[in-house]
Amino acid sequence: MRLQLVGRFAAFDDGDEPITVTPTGARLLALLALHRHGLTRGCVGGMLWPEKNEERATANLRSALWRLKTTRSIAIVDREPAVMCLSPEVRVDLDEICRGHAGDGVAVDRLLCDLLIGWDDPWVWPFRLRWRQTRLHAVDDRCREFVEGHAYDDAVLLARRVLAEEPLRESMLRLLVRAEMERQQTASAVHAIDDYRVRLQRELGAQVSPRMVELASALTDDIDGTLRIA
Amino acid sequence: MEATLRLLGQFSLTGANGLIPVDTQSARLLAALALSGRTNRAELSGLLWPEAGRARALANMRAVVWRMPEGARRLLVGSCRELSLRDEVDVDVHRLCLRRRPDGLSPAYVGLGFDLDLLSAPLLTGWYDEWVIVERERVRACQVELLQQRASAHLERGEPAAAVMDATWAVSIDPLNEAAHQLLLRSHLAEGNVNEAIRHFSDLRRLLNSELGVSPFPDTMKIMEPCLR
Repeated sequence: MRLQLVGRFAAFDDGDEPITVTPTGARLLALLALHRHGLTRGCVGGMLWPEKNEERATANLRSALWRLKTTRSIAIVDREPAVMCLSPEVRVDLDEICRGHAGDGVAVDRLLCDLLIGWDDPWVWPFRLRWRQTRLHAVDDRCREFVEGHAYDDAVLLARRVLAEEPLRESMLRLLVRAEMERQQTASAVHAIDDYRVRLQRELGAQVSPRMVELASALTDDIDGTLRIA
Repeated sequence: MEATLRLLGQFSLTGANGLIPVDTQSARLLAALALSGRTNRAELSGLLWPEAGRARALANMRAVVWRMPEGARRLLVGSCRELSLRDEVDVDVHRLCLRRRPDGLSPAYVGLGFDLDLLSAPLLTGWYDEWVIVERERVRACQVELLQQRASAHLERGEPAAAVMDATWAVSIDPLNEAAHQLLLRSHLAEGNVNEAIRHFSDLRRLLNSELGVSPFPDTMKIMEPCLR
């Protein structure tokens, strides 16, 4: 069995056919996938049904488990009488991406996807926080490698793709500007900065960082210089 | 006789020739020896079998040592009243907490060589003994502290991306620690990612409000001021 947590939740059997899982079953599988070492039943009940009392939560958990069993899944094992655990054979995409250095060989599309899209359960939050920083820094690193390896066209392509999803990511924008300048696409660089400045002000009411100001003024100096020479 | 005892995340014992398999009871005893700092047999057995009487607990412990696989038993040193782990046994938690020396450890050296997994893995995940839960809290505090120190060191060295990662991990394992949040906000801003800082600040506000019914500290607000001017 394989679980997909990056993007929308999905479960697949060994033949890679999608498995239909009830919403509660999905939350249970995802919770255990994020806590690979196992959780006590009490803990699972408390996290999935925080508003219910323990007895009610236990009953809900029991019925969720029963329904998962009938969908022929053997994904969950009891490690100790009270501890539930995802079976070691179940593959989880997040683990597989993060095991290597995130980014190596992983498609950019995956790195632009949030974790468990559409779920607002509080127990997802810490994992979403980590995943966001892991993946966005992985794409930053990849783009920086392009710039440093003088692969400016690749850098611009990647940066534009990332900025389409994360238009206000300044660290990526600075890489774009550097690459565009190397390609001597000054107008494009200036336009990107202006666009960003306006958007940041309009959407978040915020000012660009001092680093960006510095980069922008270096750029204008450069243009002035070029103009003077011309 | 080299051996490594791993207590962060899942228990494992490794010798010169690879993994040394141990049963649950032996694992509990080895972990208690490594973590509790106790060597007195009566105290140790009381910790492991709190519900049994003194004589019963002592007998249980003797039986565990007796049945322990040879590869693991060689790591123990004891007398009739004392029992401890040999000094040569390398324990991951000890390495972690040694780095917390208060006496002027160079910031550049803080927590170096620890990956984020080690710095965030809960102690003996899946163990629910009372004494393990207490130790887990202590180790977690140590992990959060290390992550914060390391994030600060990264910031000072002008490595904001690395600082963001460390601070993110600190926040994710200790969500109500506002100092860690401040560090994360400063790291985002140092990286120039104003949007991440604002996004995180609003998460923090919501979190503090829903969990504690309070607003962020004025220092936290102050960090955000320059970009919101």
